[in-house]
Amino acid sequence: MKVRKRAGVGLALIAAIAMLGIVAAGCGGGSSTTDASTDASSENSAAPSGEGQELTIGYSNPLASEEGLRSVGYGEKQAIKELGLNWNVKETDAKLSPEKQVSDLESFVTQNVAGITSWTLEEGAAEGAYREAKSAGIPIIGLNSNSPSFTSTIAGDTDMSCHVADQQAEYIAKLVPNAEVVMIGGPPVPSITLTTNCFSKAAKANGLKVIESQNDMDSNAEGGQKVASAMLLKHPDVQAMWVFAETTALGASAAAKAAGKEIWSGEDGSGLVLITRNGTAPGAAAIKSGDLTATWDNNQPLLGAAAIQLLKYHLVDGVPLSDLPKKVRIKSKLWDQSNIDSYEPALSREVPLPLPEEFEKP
Amino acid sequence: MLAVLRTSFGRIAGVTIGLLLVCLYLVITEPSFLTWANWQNIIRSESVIAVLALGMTFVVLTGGIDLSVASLTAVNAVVLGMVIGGGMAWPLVIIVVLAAGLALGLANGILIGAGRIPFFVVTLGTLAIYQSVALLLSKTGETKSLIGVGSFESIGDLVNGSIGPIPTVLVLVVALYLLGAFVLVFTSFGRSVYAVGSNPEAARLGGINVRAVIVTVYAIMGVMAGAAALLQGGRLSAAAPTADPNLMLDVVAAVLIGGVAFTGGDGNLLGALVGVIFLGVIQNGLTLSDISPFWQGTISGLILIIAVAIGVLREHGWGVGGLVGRRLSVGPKMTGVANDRSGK
Repeated sequence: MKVRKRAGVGLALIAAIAMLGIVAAGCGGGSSTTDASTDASSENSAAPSGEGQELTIGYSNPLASEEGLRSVGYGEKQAIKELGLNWNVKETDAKLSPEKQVSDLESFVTQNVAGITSWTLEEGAAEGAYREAKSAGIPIIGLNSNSPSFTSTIAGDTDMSCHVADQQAEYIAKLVPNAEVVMIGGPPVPSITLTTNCFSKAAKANGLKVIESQNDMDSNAEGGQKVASAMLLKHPDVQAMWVFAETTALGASAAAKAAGKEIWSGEDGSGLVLITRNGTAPGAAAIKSGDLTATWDNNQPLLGAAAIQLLKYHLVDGVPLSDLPKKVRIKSKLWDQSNIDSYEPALSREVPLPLPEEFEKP
Repeated sequence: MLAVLRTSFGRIAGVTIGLLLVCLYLVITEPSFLTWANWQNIIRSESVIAVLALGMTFVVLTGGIDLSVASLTAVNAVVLGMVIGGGMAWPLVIIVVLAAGLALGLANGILIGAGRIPFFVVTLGTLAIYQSVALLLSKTGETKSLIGVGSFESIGDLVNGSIGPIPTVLVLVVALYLLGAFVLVFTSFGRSVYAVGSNPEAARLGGINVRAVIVTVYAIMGVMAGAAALLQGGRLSAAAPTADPNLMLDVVAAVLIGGVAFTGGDGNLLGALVGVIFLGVIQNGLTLSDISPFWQGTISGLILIIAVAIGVLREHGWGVGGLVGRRLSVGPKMTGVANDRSGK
C-alpha cells in the first residue's frame, strides 16, 4: 500500500515536470530556433561591420584532447590577434559523439554566434543542425568536411584530396623501388576511407605492391601496435608500412622495433620505411629519434586561420557570403630527417598571414 | 501523504538541490540559458539518454547493468537505415526497429536469466558483438544519411516536430516514463522487479519467476534501445553504425545519480529522470559557458559529487556527528542487505 502511495507521488512528480516544461514553453524568451527571423537571405547581402565589434565565433571541435584538432582553435585565435579583431572563439568538445556535436551546434545557434567553424564527425548526422544555423543567417565554415549548408570549406591536403597519398607513394618508391607495402587504415570515417583508397591507387601507380591492408579501429598507439605486430609476423620481410595517422604509427613503430626491424631514417637509411601523416609533436620527436621515416603535416592551425580570414571578409569587409570562395586548399608539409630540425609544434607555431597561396580574396 | 512525499524527495534531494543551484548560476551568468530555444536543445539532446535510462532503471533495479546499451542502439540505428532504405512505410519501420531491439535485448536476457551467465560477462560480450553486427550490417561502416530517403520524412517530422511549443520528443519521453512508473509500481511484474533486486532467493521462495523477470527487464532495455535509435536517427537524420563512446556511461550515470541503487531493489523512474535532466543541464551549461574543454570534466565531476553528497548528508544528518550516528543506527540493516546479496 505504501509502495502504491509512493508510486502515485512519483507519477504526479513526473507529470509535474511535464507541466513545468509546458509552463516554461509559455514563458520562454521566444527565441525559438525554428522561427528565427534572420534567414539565408544574408547569402547575398553584406553583414554589418564586425571590425571593432565584440563577436563570438563558435568552433565545434570533434575531440579536444587531440592536438591537431586543438591546433585549429589555436590557429583561429592567432588569426584573430594578427588581424586585430575583437573576436572571441568559443570552443566546444564533442568527445567523438555526433549527438554531442549536434547539441553543441544548436547551442551556437541559441547563443546567436557571429559565425561557426566546424570539423564534422558524421556528415549526415550534423546536417540538420547546419541547416538550422544557416536558416538563422549564421555563416558556417567547414573544416575538412562537406555540407551543402557550408558557406565555404577549408580543405587540408591530407584529409580531402589524394595529394598527400600520391606524395607518400612517390616517397616510398623513391627510397625502395617496387617495395612490398602493408597498410594500416583507421575507423571508417569519410576522410580516412578517402586517403586509404587514394594511397592504394597511388601505390599501384608507383609500382609498389600492397600485400596486406588492415584497420586500427581504436585509432591509438596501442591499436597500432597490435595490428602492426600481427602484420609483421605474417610478412617479416615487408619493406614499407603506410599508416593513416601518427598515433597509430607510433604504436606500429614500437611493434617493428620489438620484431627486430630497423626503421628507415634519412635518405641513405635501411630497414622498414614507416610513413604517416599529422605532423604532431610526438610524430616529429619520433622522426628525430629515428622511430619514424616521415610524416605529412596537416598544417591545421592554418585551417583555423583561413576560416577566420573568410569570416572577416564577410563580417568586417561586407563581402556577401555567396561571393566567398567555396573551397580553400591548405597544403601539407613533409617532415623527415632532412628538415625535422626546423619543426615547430602546431600549438606554438606562427600563423603566416596573408593566408595560403591558393586562397584568393574575392 | 507528506511523509511519503518526503521519502520520495529524500532520495533525489541532493541532485535536485544541485540542479536548482546550477540553474540559478546559469540564469545569472548565461542570458541564453533560460530561453525556450535552449531548453528545446536540452530536451532534444537528452531524449535518447532519457529513453535508455528508463530501460536501464529496470535492469539496475534487478541488480544488473547493461553494458551493451550503446552497441544495441547502434545496431537498431543501422536496422532503421536499412528498413527506411528498403522503402518500408513509417509505422512498419517503427515496429521493425522496436522488434529488433526486443530480439537483441531478449538475447541478453536469456543468456543472463536462463543461462545464468553473469550480466557483466554477457553484456560486455554483446557490447563487442552488437558493435560488430552494426558495422557488418552497414557494409561500409559509414554513417548513412537518411535525408530524402523513403519514409524518413515522417519519422523525422515525428521526432523533430512540436505540439504547440512542446517538442514531441518531450511528450513521448514523459508518456514512456509515466507508463514505466505505472508498470513498476501498480503491476505485479513491477513489484517482482524490486523483489528480485532486493533478494533474488527470497523472491524465488516467494513464488516469483526470477529468470522470467530478468529476461523481461533486458527485453525492455532492448525495446528502449530501439526507441532510442528511432529518436537518434530522427534527430540526426542519419543512421550511425558506430556506438557513441560516451552513451553507456551517460545512461548509467543518470540512473545512479537519480538514486537508483546499483545493488538493486531501490530507486524509481522519477530519480532517473531527474538524473537525466541534471546531466543535461550541466552539459548544456558547460557548453554555454566559455570554459576550456579540459576543465569541463573536472567541473562536471565535482558538481556531480557535491550534488550526491548533499543528498547523502541530508539523509544522514547535516553534521559529521549526525552522519556517523546515522551510519551506526543503520548498521544492522546494511549487514542484512549484504547477507541478502550473498544469497543471490
